[in-house]
Amino acid sequence: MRILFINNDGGGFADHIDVTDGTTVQQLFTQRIKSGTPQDYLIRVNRQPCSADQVLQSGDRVSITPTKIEGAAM
Amino acid sequence: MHRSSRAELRLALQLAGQLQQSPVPNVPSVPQVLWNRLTQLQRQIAVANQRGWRVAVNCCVAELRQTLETLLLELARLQTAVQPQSSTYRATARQMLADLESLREEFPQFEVDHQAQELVVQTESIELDEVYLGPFEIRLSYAATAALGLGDYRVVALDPQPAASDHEVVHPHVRHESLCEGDAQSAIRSALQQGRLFDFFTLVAAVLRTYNSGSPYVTLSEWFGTPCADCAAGVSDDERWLCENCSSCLCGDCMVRCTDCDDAHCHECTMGCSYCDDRCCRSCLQPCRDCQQLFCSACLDDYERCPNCDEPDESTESEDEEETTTAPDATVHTDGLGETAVLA
Repeated sequence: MRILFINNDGGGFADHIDVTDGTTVQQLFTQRIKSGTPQDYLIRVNRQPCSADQVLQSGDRVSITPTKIEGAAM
Repeated sequence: MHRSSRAELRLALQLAGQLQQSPVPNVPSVPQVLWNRLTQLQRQIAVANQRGWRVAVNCCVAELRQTLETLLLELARLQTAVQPQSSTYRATARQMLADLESLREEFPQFEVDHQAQELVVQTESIELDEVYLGPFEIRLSYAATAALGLGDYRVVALDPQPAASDHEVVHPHVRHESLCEGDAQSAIRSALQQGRLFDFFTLVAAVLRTYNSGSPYVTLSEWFGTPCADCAAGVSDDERWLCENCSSCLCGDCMVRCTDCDDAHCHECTMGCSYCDDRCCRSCLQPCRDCQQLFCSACLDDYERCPNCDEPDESTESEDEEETTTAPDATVHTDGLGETAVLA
């Protein structure tokens, strides 16, 4: 099935990807985010907070955004 | 969930339409001004070095470092802008409308300022390292989004708590209402290019809630002013003094003016004259030729002798008188340098 996956860590990737049926939020996080723990990220499914064991549905919009992002001085 | 108004629906349709029509990303201009400033600073450092202006060299080097960092960031932004798009994703009107609805739930306040053509989100009060900075408004111009494919946005402090040293800095990473995006730069640009409004606002808010002590406009430890080297009180740039000797920052109360040269110094770099106790810098204090103690120029005579050594030794004179009246066989012993003791 296809979902919209948005990774706001680093470059800000957003695209449709294929995942297997029954994939949970936790599994998608582990597959896609190589470093860091879920506690360091705001994970949303269809813009709503979700649980780690939530099973993804076709057409879902999943976004992963770091809770802490360092700014700088121009 | 908030029921979308017709105005928001129209706005989403308008934004999505314009986003589809503006596939060419805006390319930032080459940072020529920064490059010119770097070469100018390099010349100034060379001149200051030749003339031995140590404080000026330090100031120029500090600015050079900051300008260099800014130039690197600008170049990185330019590089990102000209790279081919890795994703062809563009938000649809329906997705944008869903973003607008979610923003109402995510932030304490969200509104569309139709007059200014801005989407306005208000954050909660932000406090970093126990420094209260207040709530902020993130104002995204949708007119700019439509025209350029990239959005111009401002970060406005609603309860401004500016840094003591620079009143335009209302957050360690916000100056002149402009956020320095740092690590979030690419993600924010992508969100704007793809019309992901919800992601854009949450990313900007995440930067506002984070303090990067490595690269702020003003560090939080110096938010209330640079600490005075002597009393540790915060001092603003307008009121601070720099020690001419060690370049440490001083408040007006702790700054000591050398009685001789009138230059500003810290307490550590001055000493009291051994006679009048006025404080002078170490280079102005001179030793007395006789006793070798340090004195200000006013307390040394033309022969570099202090008032103590310059005065005639009354005890010696009276002893000389006594010596002439004592028996000729009296024994005279040397008691100390320049002094004699007469024993009967």
